[in-house]
Order: sequence, then C-alpha cells, then structure tokens
Amino acid sequence: MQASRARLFKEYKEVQREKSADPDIQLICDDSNIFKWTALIKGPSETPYEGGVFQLAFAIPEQYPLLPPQVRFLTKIFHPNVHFKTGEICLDILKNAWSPAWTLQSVCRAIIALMAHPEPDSPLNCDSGNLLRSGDIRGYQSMARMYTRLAAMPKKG
Amino acid sequence: MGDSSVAGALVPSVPKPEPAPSGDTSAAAAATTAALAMPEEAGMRAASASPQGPAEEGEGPADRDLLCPICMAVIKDAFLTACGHSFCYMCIVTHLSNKSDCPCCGHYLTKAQLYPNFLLDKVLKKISAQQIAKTASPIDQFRCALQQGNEMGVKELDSLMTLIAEKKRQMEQQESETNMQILLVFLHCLRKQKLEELNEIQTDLQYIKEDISSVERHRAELYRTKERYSMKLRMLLDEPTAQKMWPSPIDKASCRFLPNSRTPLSGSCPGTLQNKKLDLKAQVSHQGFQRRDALTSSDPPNSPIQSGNVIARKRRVQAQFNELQEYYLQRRRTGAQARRQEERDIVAMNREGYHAGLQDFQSVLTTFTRYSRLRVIAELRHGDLFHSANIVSSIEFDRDDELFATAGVSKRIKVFEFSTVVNEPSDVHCPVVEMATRSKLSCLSWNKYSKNIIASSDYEGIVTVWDVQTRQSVMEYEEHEKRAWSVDFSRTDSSMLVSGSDDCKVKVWCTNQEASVINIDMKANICSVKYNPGSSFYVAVGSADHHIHYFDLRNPSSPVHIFGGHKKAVSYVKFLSNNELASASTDSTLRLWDVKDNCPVRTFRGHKNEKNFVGLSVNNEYIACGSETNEVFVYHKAISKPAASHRFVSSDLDDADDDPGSYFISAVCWKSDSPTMLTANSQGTIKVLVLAP
Repeated sequence: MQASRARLFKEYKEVQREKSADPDIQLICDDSNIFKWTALIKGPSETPYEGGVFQLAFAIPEQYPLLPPQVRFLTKIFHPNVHFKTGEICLDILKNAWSPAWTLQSVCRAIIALMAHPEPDSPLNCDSGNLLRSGDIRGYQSMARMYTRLAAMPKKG
Repeated sequence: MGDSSVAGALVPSVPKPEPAPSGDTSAAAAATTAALAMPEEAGMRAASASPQGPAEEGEGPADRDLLCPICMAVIKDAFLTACGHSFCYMCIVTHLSNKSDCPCCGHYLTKAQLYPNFLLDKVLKKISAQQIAKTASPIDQFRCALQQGNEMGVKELDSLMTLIAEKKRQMEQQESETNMQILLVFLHCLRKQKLEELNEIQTDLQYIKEDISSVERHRAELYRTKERYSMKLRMLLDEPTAQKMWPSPIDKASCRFLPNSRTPLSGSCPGTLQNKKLDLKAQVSHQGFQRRDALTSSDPPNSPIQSGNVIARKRRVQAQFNELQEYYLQRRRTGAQARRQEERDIVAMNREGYHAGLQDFQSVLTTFTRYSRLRVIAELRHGDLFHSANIVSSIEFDRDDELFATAGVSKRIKVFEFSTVVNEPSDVHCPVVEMATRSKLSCLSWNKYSKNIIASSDYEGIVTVWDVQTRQSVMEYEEHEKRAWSVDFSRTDSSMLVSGSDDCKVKVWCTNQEASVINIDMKANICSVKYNPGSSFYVAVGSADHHIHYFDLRNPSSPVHIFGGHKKAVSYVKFLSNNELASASTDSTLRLWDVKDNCPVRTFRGHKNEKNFVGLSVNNEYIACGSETNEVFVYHKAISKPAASHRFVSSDLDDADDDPGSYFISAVCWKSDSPTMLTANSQGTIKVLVLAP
C-alpha cells in the first residue's frame, strides 16, 4: 500500500512535468483517490481511428506496480481486441506479460500501438475479428471509421 | 580523488552565511554543537537526507538512469541482476517473490542470481551529494560545511559566531520596536476613547449638579414662605375645577382626582431623590414633616393617603429608572424646545434657576408617576346575543364627549349616552340611537362641528354620512372599489372628510357634493387616514407598504414627506397635537413622529399586534392601544415602555365553543383631556377604563 502510493505519486509528478512531451496522451488522476485515473488518447494517424478521442479508465490495485492496472475503454470502439460492450482490452502487458517497469504512460502508448496493429487471432469483438481474418480489410476499416465518427468525435451543432 | 574534489567545492562558500537570518543561524549554531559532539550521527543524518534530492529535482533524461524502474526513486542498496540490470534490493526481492523474470527484459531470474553492486552505491551517494551542493541554499551549504567537519580555525569560528550573534540581536531589537509601536498606538486610541467617555460623564454630572442646586434652592424657598405656599396650594385646588381639567360624572372619581392635582409640585421630589443618593431618609422625613404642616389646617385625615401616594410614586420611578434616566439626559442635553401653556402656568413659580430641559423632565415625571394602572368604572355588554360576530371595529366620542358611537361587524351604529352608561347600574344598556347598515363597518368619525353628524366607512367601500337625530343617511359616497378601512372628518373644515381603501386610493369628499373632491392614487392598500387637527390641508395616510405618507392636499401629486421605520402595515395614524403624530403597526410597535421636523421621535414596545386592527387613541400625554392578548396598553408619550395595562377577562356566557385566547382588543378611544377612555374587544364587550394611581 505504501509503496504503491509512493510510486503513483512519482508517476503523477512525472505526468505533470511531461504534459507537453506527449500530446497524444492526457492522464488525469482522480481528485480524492490516487488509485483511480482516466486518460484521453488520440486515435493514431493512418488508421480508421484517426481524429477520434478515446477515454480510458484505470483501476489500480494495491499491489501496483507488482500487479498490472485494470484498463478499459469508456468510449465505444470497433476493434478486434476490445470488448464492444464492456470496453475490456486484451493486451498481454496488462496480463501475464506485465512488468513493474511499465508505467501508466507506457500503458497508454501500448494501447495506441494496439489500435494501429490489431491482433485478430485473440478477439474480444468477434465481428471485427472475423472481418479481418476473412481478409475484408475495407469492411473492417469502414465499420471502425463509422463508430469512431459516432462515438469518438465531438458532435457538431 | 573524489574526497578532495568534494572538499574543494565546499571551501569557497564559507563566507556566504554572513547575511543569513537569525532564526536559521541559531539552528546552524545548534547543528554545529551536535556535529561536534556526535560526528557519526551527523554523518548518518546527511546520508539519509541525500537520496531524495535528485528525485525531487529530476533534470533531464540522464537522471532517469539513476532511478529504480520499480519504485522510480534513486536506487538504494543497488543490486545487479544476472542479465545486467540494477534495482533497489527490496524492490527486486519483492518482485521476484511474485514472478521469476527481470522487470526490464523479462529474462529468467531468481533471488540466487542477485549480486550487490558496491561501486554503484558509492557513485550514487556522490552524485546525490553533488546535486545537493549544486542546488542547496547558502544556509544548507553552511550547515553541510559544519557537519562535514571542515578544517576551520578557532579564530574563524569566533568571527562567524560574533557576526551571527550581532545579526540575531539586531533582528530581535527590530521586532521588539515594532511590537512596542503597535502597543503604543493601541494605548493612545484607548486613552482617547476613555477621555471622550469621561468628558461626556462629567458633562452629565454637571447638569445633575446644577439641577440639584436649583431644586434645593426651590425647596428652601418653599420652606421659608410656608404661608405663601399654602395660599398657592389653595389656588391650585381651585384651578382644576375652574378649568374643568378633570370633568367626570362620578363624584367619587372627582374627589379622588383632586388630591392628585395638588401634588404636581411634589412630583419633582422623587426625581430629586433619585438624582441625589445621599440623605435619602432625612429628606423623606423632612418632606413628610413639611407636608404635614402644610395640610394640618385643611384636612388632617388625608396625611396617610398622601404618604402612601408618595411611596407608590417612588416605586414607580424606581421601576422605570433606566427609561427616566435616558429621557432626562436626552432632554437635558438638547434642551426642551416646546412647552405648553398649561405647563408654563404650573411651572411659573419654579422658573427661577430652572433649565428648560429640567422643567420638561419634571412635567414628564409628574405625569408618568401619577398613574400606574387602569380601573374599570363601567362595563357595557352588547345586547345582540343572537349575533355570533360582535367585533367592535370603531368607538368614538362626539364633539362634547357626551355621546359615543360604536360600530363593527354587527352592521349597526349604536350611539350611547356616556353619563348614562357610567352612572346607571343596569346590566344591559340601551343605545340612544341605533341605525342599521347594509354592510359591516370599519371606522366611524364624528363631525367636529355639527353635533348630530357622523361618518362611517364599510366593507363594501361606501363612505356614508349619517344624521343621528333623524337616523337617516345624509350622503353616500360610492367611488371606492374595495373595502374602505378609515374615514375622518376635518377639525378645521367641518364639511371635508377623507377616506382610505384597499383599492389603494385616498379620497377627499365634501358634504355638499357627491363626487370626490380629490383623489390620490397610491401603490399599496390604505389602512388609515387622519386630518391634522390644526389644518384642513394636511392628511396623514398609513399604508400597507409600511410607510406613513404625509400629504398637503393643495399639491396631492406627491406627499410632503414619507415616514419610514415600521416593518409591517401601518394600521392607525393619530395626531397628539399639530406636530406630533402617532402610528400603530402590525409589527407590535407604536411610533411617535414629529411632522414639523419630519423625524422619528420614539418607538413604543410592550403590546402584541401582528395581524388585527387593535385600536389606537391619543390624548395630550398618553397613547392607548389594544393588544392581541386581550389587553389594553397605555404608554406615556415620553417613555417607551407601557405605563399601565388592563386585561379583559373572557366570560363563558355564550362562548363555550370559542378559544378564549383568540380574543383581542379591537377599539379604544380617549375622552378628551381626561384619564378616561372607552375600550372594546372582539367579543363586543365595551368597558370604560380610567387611569388610576
């Protein structure tokens, strides 16, 4: 408990100092609970998620950094490795491949990388995975772009 | 090499502690002592503090290489893994108890493959020390120099300590001077304030001393001219009878009043006794002796009555001492500005050496201590046993105080003969005249010139002028659109009357024409209207907007003045004189106003009035009003607290179903220039009350 709190305080200070260094990621700590964070990440360019802003929720366990944080999408996203309803993310570093050297910032970068390089072989979204596995790249991109426009872009008017 | 370089970096900063503040310098001195006594402890303290420095600063990516990847702090007890990565010992051991890989590269790793890295430990300590030296303040550098046991001669230490002590002394002196300055300012302000209070008290004492001398001289003069005093006393006895000051049909009441009129001169004695604390008993004896001598020739049996009377008056003075004191000092400071003819006549023999303020206070004291209660001399029960609603809204004496009229929700105007009501002992008195009306009545006003003319205002907004002799209505004014609350005949122009209504209008009528002469539109309901007794042009209007609007009817577009101060609707306005206006409000207060100077004079509290019309009546000295506690209250116009009160006792004859606590006084009316008044309550009971000692 004490070690995780101290570690999170250091990460918080790092985030404050590096605000302008990584414009694609914005990490926000809850005012009253240092074990609750949210993040806003930009959809990577040259992907169907480009132009969208996606919100993530972090629930950090007491054993952090020995155990990984639990992360999920709050914004709807059409991605093979993200559960459409719950926002759960299938990413190895958030499970068995976790290492204490990872930070919340680096987790966000890994998620952005996942958006650019989906892995259809372990899908949480079957429709999306099936499109990719059957080679319908255009269909997948079209659906992903539509959902990005619907859920991840600020509405006009 | 490392040690020598550290020593080199610290040596040039030695002179810098010179401008240090005294507080920290003291701490540095203490640290010096501790370091000299226990060098090992000092060294440990420095070591334990240093690792946090670089983490706090964090300059550039190079520093991240010094941080443990797990806890992100400077590595403590550096240990090397088989794959070549470094961690804090505790961090890596904790990690390996969960997993068997390297956090950085994931390579297989066990606790047996961890090795201490002593060189890295030393390097990290040196780097931390350098970081501290680079960013520390001069004070920290000075403290480190002392703790490190730098080579410093005794002379240099003495010189530094002398500088530090001098700096400390200067700062302490500066602070002490500042504190003294603040204290001095406070004391000066306090003295100034107390001197002002002292001057005020001394001035008041001077007034009191002068007045005591005046009264003493007056008493000596009275003692010397006993015979002349007796003659003047006899003259005073004749004076009230001749002037009909106390006209009353009851012979006993008349006999009782006469002794009171003989004692206005002694009214100043209680005040004097209160102002002069010493020799109280001696003065009482002296006064008694003098009085007994004066009265021996006329009526010896009255002596005990007089003595009891004086004692009662003293008790009254004592009960209201604070109020009287406040009023005395107020009059004495400003000086009395107005005196009535009667007062001047009575006080003429005392004018020598008297200040005007003292004369005014004496008259107030005399009047105030004369009465303390209200006595019932007659009771009139309404004969209408079949009417459930018997509230008497208005009760008024006629021009000569021979007849009085009552009106209310019973839809009847009844006129009674006052002498008959007071003298005859019959249980049910018959009215001399009774007139039925179409609607409930709210107010009555007798004509001030024609004896048989009376005006009424009712709940339908109709103002009616009646002829009491023929029992017919002479004129009906129907312009008001809502309930009319108040009507009043002018005293100086008997053909003019004014009315106020819930339709927010004040209308002036003439008995010679049907249409209104003047119409004043206002923004709030009108509760009361009253002509100034000395002019047919000035009218006071009490309104539901909490204000009293004073109009000159020659320019009715805007009031001459608006009196504000009441917190609720103004239910009544009455004139004590041409310049004195009294008002009642449902904020449970009465207020007295000066309509010549347009300023408030006094506020009276003691009765309870929050929603009903409880009645208001004034004479020269007293203000009477009803209360929602079923009591009548009487105030002296110069004293804010009630002088007397009387409670109506609810009878259970026909009111078994009603709540006794819900009754209230609904109307009051003084008999002109007399201590007698009429009162009525919401049960319809009418009583004749008289002020009594």
